Amino acid sequence: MKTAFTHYNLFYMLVGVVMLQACSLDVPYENQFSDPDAITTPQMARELLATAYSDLPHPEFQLSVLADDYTPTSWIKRNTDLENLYKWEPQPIIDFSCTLWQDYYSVVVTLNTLLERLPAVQGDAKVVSRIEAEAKALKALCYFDLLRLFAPDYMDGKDKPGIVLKDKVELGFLSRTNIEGCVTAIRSLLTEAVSAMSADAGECYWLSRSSSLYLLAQVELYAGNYGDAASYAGQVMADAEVMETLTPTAYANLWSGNGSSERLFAFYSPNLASSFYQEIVYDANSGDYLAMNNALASSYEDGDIRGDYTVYPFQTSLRVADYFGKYNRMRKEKQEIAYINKMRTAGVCLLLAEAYCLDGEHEEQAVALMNEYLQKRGASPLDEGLSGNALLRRVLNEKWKEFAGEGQRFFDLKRYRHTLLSMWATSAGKNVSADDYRWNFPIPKEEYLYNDNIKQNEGWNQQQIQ
Amino acid sequence: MKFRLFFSSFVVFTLWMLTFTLPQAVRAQEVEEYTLTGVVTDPEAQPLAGASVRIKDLPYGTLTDGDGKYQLRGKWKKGDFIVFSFVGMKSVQMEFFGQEKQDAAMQYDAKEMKEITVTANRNINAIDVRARSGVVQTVDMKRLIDKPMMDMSLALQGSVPGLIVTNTGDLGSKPTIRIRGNSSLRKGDAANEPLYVLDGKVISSDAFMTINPQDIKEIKVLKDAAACALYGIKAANGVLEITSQRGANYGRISVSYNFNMGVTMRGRRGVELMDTDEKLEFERRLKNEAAPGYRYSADYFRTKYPNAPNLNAMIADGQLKLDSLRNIHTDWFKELIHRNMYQRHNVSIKGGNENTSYYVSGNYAKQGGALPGNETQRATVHMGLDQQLGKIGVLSLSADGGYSDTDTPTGTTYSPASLVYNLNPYEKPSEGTLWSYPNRTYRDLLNQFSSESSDKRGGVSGSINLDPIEGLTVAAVAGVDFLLTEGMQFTPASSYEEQQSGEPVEALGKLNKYKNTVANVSSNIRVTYNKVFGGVHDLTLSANTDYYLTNNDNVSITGYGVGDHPSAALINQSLEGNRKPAVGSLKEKTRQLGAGLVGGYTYNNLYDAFATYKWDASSVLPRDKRWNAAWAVGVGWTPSNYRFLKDNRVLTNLKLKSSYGVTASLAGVSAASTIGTFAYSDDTYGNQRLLQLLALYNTDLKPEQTTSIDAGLSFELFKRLTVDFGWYRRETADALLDVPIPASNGFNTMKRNIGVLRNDGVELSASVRIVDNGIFRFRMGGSFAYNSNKVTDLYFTDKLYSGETSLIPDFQIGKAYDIVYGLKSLGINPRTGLPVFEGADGREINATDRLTREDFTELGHSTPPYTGTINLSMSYRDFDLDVDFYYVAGGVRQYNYTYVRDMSAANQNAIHGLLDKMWFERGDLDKIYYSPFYSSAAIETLSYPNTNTVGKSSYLRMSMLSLRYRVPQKFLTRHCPFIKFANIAVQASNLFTLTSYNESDPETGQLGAAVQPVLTMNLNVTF
Repeated sequence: MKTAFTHYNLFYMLVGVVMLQACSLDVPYENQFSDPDAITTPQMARELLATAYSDLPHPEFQLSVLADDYTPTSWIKRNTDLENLYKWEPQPIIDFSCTLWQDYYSVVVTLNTLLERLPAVQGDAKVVSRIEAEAKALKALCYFDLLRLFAPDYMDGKDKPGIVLKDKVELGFLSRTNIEGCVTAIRSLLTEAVSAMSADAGECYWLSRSSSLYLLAQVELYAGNYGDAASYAGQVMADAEVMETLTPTAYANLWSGNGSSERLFAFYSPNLASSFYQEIVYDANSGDYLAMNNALASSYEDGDIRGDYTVYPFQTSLRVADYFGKYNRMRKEKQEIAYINKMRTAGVCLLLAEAYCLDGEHEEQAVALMNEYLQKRGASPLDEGLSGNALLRRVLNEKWKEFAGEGQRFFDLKRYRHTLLSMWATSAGKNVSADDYRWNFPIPKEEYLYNDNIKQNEGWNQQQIQ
Repeated sequence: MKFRLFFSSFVVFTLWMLTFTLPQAVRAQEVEEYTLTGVVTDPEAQPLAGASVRIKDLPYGTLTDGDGKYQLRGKWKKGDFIVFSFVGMKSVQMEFFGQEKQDAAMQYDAKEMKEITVTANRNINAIDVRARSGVVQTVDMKRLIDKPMMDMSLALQGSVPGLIVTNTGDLGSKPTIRIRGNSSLRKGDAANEPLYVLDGKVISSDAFMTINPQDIKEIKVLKDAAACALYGIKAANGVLEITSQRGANYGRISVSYNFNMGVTMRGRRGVELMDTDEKLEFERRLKNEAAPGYRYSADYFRTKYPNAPNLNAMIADGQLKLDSLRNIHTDWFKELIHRNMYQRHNVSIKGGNENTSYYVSGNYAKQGGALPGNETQRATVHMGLDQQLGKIGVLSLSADGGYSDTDTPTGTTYSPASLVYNLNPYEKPSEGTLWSYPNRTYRDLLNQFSSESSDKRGGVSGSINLDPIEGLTVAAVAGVDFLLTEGMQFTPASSYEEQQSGEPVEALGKLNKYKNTVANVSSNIRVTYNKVFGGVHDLTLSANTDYYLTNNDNVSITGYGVGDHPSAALINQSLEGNRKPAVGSLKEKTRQLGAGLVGGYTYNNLYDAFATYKWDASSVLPRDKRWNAAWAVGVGWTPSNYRFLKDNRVLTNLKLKSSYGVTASLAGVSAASTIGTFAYSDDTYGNQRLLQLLALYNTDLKPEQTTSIDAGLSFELFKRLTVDFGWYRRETADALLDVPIPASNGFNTMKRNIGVLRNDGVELSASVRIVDNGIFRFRMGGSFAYNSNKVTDLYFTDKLYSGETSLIPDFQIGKAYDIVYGLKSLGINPRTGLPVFEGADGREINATDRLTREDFTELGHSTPPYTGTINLSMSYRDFDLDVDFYYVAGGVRQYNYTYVRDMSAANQNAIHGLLDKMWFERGDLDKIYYSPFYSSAAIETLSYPNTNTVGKSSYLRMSMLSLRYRVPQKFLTRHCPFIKFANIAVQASNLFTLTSYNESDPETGQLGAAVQPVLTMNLNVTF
């Protein structure tokens, strides 16, 4: 009897143990999501897209250092790397280009991941197509920045190697597509994006129809299609009511935590933006490594609101120096930096004027447009008869004043270094000729050491450790 | 539902067991009281510990002690039988006719194996048929327990050839444990550490560290594929199979108390440093004002104030100051490296009757570290209960729990051990600010960082072994093991590091606190059928399914602004930027399911064949990669069992075996490497959280395929000399590694199958009884293991560099994975004071020249390929002496060199002899150290090892010494009859280390973290 009882219990115990083993092996991680169930809702798709936005690099400061926006202060001796970057020494450019290449392609891979998974996302088709359009526009933005930084200018030869166009999330050893091919790819990404976006205005930290059109206009200007550039810029002027956005309050708000109607697209993340422009500061009390270029700082007229926000008078031990304002002012005045302005309405206005000048047929409109813009900024207007290179030079100069410290100038210098802006280096005291190899950033070792299909830019090979 | 079922049956079973185990009436008829003593030996005539001696059909029984001796007291009658039994050996029965002494020599019994599976097989994968062709080696637990060491895993060093244990730091840090080398190119424990199995349940390596050695009955080390394949893919790196202590089937309760008390010592002084006079003169020559030797020297005043009117007075004043410094001779090694205390207490109770036996033990141990603030302590309890289930089987229950904590002052950025080398001999602990740390006193240097961690462990397991039909065994084990690790790391606001951080006061003081729980649930059911046909064909078939769940839950907080109070409640939550408080959390649950088949066949005890196949699936992997297989075959041949050799007096035993097996391993691979996997980050963009792709996944990822071939030979001569020899080759194909990929892929690395890694090795162990005449015994043993590893193929390249600027390859075809690459030094150029190297083409390279990858040569292996032990055992009458040595050889290690000071560090102490061996000025010939007027950071070539800056890391260590005196039985009987056995001993671990490495610790490479010598007194009493 006792034995039977034991058997009975043991049987149950065994059954219990067997049942413990009969469990499913589909155990998801608590905080990780794996394919194919990871990106299935518009919300998760949006969150993945947000990662792409948040990973965007911010080369504004370094590009301004390379350009002629700044002049060094005596503190620069304490920061050899920055001093060397200012002097266009190869090493800091190598380091900087490596970060940029990695960061931009990191955004691209996130966008490709998203684009590959979007067809499986269930939900409101309009929302999904909006996400897709933004992803394409953002990818175009990355490609365009990479192209302008790492490839020769379009005008230097459109058949020269451009950048790596990466469309699949898989290990690839791709070669560089030529510049023309890159422009075509960027154009088609943007055209698709624009056509899928309605005109509705959303938050400025997402790319919109207007910001995509503005980008498209920049691409066409870059590729020498001035008519198309003017046409796209004109569309933005109308859609975004650009002239109405240009107010002193909106301008002031660009460098604050407040919203501003002048922002077409801005990076927004209180955490990730908080250290933006920190590199210029040597010490909060002692001063900065760099101050404004004298020529630039002194070019603002009284009453020009651009000067008020761009130049920041700072009492050093010897004198009052013209330090850089904008984000640097925010830091000095202990304001939190949350927005990094990427596309501004003033840029559309200046781009349209530049396109008008370049196509040679709309100089009057250019002057009128510039005068309207200058009047909004509180600066004196241009001479009505201004034309040709003189007019274009003024447009570029006003652009310099508008975007001082925002990294735009570098691209203008690269574009016009043989022509209108050939004297920039001399006036800035830099030893960089128009034919210098350093205009095209080096393809980083992180790429070419592991990719036999990649071709390094001319001039850089001897600088590398093999 | 299943849990309720399980629970109810458990309750019913417990009630049933209680009624069953009530003490049974003691039968006594015409009996007298007797005392019987004797020695039980094994077939090799070695004393057999733990053998059972009992009177047949009576509740009197005992176990033999470590020397095979026993004493049995009780009431029985002449004509009763004395039964000697031991697992795996034939029972011996002798009639009692009134003798006082009865020895017994046990013999192995292959036919007796069936009994083993019933009574001893708590690790139910330990089916004995595997040992006939696989490599299973047993740790000598007696020697392990004799080692006074806190750390279970570190104590294993040298216990079995091929099991390599390496200390990694100060007391309480986890050593690396490898069986036959790394099988993966990936470094670290996740991909290379063995599997730990306690009584059939899988436990984590951290849990293993906290086990009390005295609760362990046996540790088996499974090395080859044939032995490991039963555990499937989890066992790609070998298995440590641990069996806990169990009760004994003899009537009386036996209580043992074991006590160690002693001191830990400072250990080896790595580097002899300068004393005051040499240091001051050295400072004068370095010409750095920050050091008093120059600041107060005549040179300084003459250079600085050449025209001062009171120059001579200044010089005289300086001389006075120097003279007062010359009177101070502080030995900072003695000041900072402490002697400390060691203690260990262990109480265990064993008892039971024929149907039930139990074992309960409690243990407390504490060891103080060499550095102030470093100590570790541990308390454990263990309970085991075995219940005979009628005639059909045994049920065993185990429960154990443990608490251990470790405090250390050594953190990531700060080590007080470095003070030994930095403080000057003319500085005092008691007074004044220091030259070596300007504006700070010695007191300011202590309490810079503290780290405490504790482990709380609990586990229960139950197993049933049933033998319902002749030859059929059904065994099941289920267990839960739980480990809670808590820790805190704290850098106070007043610490040097924090004060130098430039952060505002409200952000000073860093605190990191974490809790981590690991729960392991494992179960395994095995059905084994064994039958002998025609008296010669012994066939075993077995099948099992197992299940393993691990649940890892981790929470951590890191915050700043706590000031000098180590409390998470004081974290300043208003901080932003890089001192913003951060919360981390990770919960990871993985399940593994497996099923296996085993077949074994033995013909007439001469030929063995063994085959096993195991399928395993893990929830970590995507569905299409989930199931992986491990299989192995093995053969054995025992010529000594031939009839014509059976009674040969010279060759008393000879066995050959060989095995081959393949194991797929995905150890350390997570889902993110094989499939698109996303997780949220702490940051935000706009109004959205950020969902990030964790890694560039590799959809072509394959498991690593580990193939092992083994061959072994063991023989015994004259019943005195036993030799075990083994050869292995283990090849890991499709080895995984995170390799650099072109940056345009958006990630810098990707996990790829990149090559083939091979471990070849031989292992030899031998033991010889030199003298054994009953009064004097002398036994000598030793082992030797050699492991050579080589990368035999890399699929995409022939040299793999981890970074783009790396000059030194991480892996290279045809080379070992642990090669130290460096430059060939040609000495110091007497003109420049900088070293000159010989380049690839024989050209001379100056220190300031640019190097190419070809200029680097191999300087040696970082992991010593040769390891081994030498053991000596002697006993004379009641004295036993055991000594163990452990040695490693063949490796090199780069010198730390922090104590070679250049001018900028002239204010910190330096190695003795530097004054003579350093280049100071043009024309200095035959110097060893380059000019102090250069910093190694400025000249790239100086940062690489070269032939002059590495040393052989070989060492010989006396790892254990035990001198024991057994209190004679007569004395005990007369004076303390309540004591069964008693002995006292002097025991020591790691007493000294001999090495040619003339710097820090050759094992860890750290200047202040050698394993501590421990010297203790031991008392062992059994009631």
